[in-house]
Parts: sequence; structure tokens; C-alpha cells
Amino acid sequence: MAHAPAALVIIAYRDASDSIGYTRLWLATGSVDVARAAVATRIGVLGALSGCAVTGYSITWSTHLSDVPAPGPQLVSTAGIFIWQTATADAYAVTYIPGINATMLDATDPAGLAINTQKLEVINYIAVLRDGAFVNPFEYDITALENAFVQFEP
Amino acid sequence: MPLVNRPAVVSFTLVDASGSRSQATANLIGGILLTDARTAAQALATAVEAASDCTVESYAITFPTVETQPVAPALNSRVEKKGRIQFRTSAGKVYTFTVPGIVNSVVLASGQIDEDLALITGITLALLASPWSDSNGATLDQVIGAYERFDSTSKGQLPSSRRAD
Repeated sequence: MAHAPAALVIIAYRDASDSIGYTRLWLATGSVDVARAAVATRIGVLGALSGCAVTGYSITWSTHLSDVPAPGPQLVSTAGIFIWQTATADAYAVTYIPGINATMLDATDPAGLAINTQKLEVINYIAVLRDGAFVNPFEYDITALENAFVQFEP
Repeated sequence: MPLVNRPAVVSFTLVDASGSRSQATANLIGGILLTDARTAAQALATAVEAASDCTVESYAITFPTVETQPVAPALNSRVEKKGRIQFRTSAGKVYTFTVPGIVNSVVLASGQIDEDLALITGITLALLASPWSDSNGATLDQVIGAYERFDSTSKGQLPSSRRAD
């Protein structure tokens, strides 16, 4: 595993024609708070330098895995779709596993479409998503699996 | 102008036997430390790879922040009109910093940007200080040039000949 030496900062702008532009910078820090503070103090200066409106920014840390195994036969277009309940009623989360292994599929009902939630690998995946760190895009905590099935995506 | 932090997003890149790549994403709780986010991402990468025939090559953890009430852009401002400030890094390479929609007041008739203006030194002095760097983590050591350039940015951009309504 190799962490990229610097975090990528992308600041987004919108102009009078509604076109979007970006500033890209890098930060040599491993702290989210330090990075956000560094960006926040620059936003005001950039706002004065540009006639465009700053609409937000993102800070990304990348990691490349080493010694990766060779892929199996399933293609990325065969995706496992997992729909999750969250701590808020009627609010759900969705996650994907591209190229889901054929042995993870339920052989009975409905055969080849449902994902077998009794498989150890699927149980482990569910446990990781429910461990408290993961949420849906509205930051509602993922609590339980609602449904899981296979979907073919071009 | 409130800047609001959104939940972090971890995005995995997977590759299959044909060389095709796909993404798998998940959201992480707000306020999570980078070390904890990496631990959670690594655990999820292991779980995803165990259930998939694809190989997880890499993952990226992004912490987005959005401006919920952005100010109106200046009349006739264009993101294609860029201010570019070039730095020499401690590794001897060149890093270019870009400001879309650069204001006219800092651009000289020659197209150069006046590096002595407070608006410019405010950004250059800040970038010359830690923790800013280039993509390899090398520090930015000196400003070597600054100028205006028209450039394309987005697929949705309007043609350059467009006049304001």
C-alpha cells in the first residue's frame, strides 16, 4: 500500500455564464483539519482574485495498493447492488461490488439474481458497512441490509 | 457564505480480467480522521475484493465542502479567462497554479500578471509556505512567472464569441 505524497485540493468556481472552472493544488499533510484550515484561509484571497464565485472544494487522499492479485473471470459490468436501511426511516444507502463473484449468488430464489447473504464473504462485507464508520450521502448511519441483487451495467 | 462540510467519500477503483475499470463508492461519517478513514477504507477494500472477481487497485478518500450560499459571479466573468502563476519546486520542477476568471485589475497590458500587487503576493506567499506542495509532495520554492491565458475548462462552457444577454 502506498499513500500519495500529497492530497489533491480542487476548488470549484462558477462564472456568469454558469460554466464551471477549477483550481488544483496539493497539500503535503495527513490531517483533514490542517488541510481544511489551509484551504479556508485561501478561499477569501481567491475570491478577490477571481470574478467567479467559489462554489466549494474537495480534498482527496489517494492510496495505491501493492501486490494486487490477478482478477478472476467476472467482468466489472456484473455488479452486486446492496441496498441498506439507515438510522432514519425511508432513507436508504446503495453500494456496489463490481464484478461480483458468481459463487456469491443465490442458487435458489431467485436463482442467479439474488445475492446469498449467508456467504462468509458477503457477511464480512455487511459487517464492515455496518461498523459505524459508513453512512449514506446524507450522513445517516447504515444500520441493516435491505436487499442485495445482481445488476448488469454496460 | 457558509462553507459546509459533507460526509467523506471513499471511491475504490477495481479492474477486471479484460482491463476494464469500475468504481465502488461509500460514504464515511463527517469529522472522521484521515487515519480512521484509511482504516475503514482498507477494511472495505478487503471485503469488496473477497466478494468480487475484480482486483482493487486503489482508493481515494475525498472530503467535500460546499458553499451553500455562493455570491453571484461578476457580470461577464468567464472561467476560461485564467490567471496562471508558475512556481519552481524544491525538486526543480514547475507547478502551475490557476485562477479561473482572473480579475482585470491584476493583469498588465502585456498579459503578464503584476506579481507585486498585494492580491497576488497574498496568494504566492501563502503557497510558498508549508503545507502546500506539488503532486509529489515537493515544496514550492519560488515564483517564476505569472500571466493570463484563455483556456477551456468544462464541456458545458459557452462559445468564446458569446455576448452577454
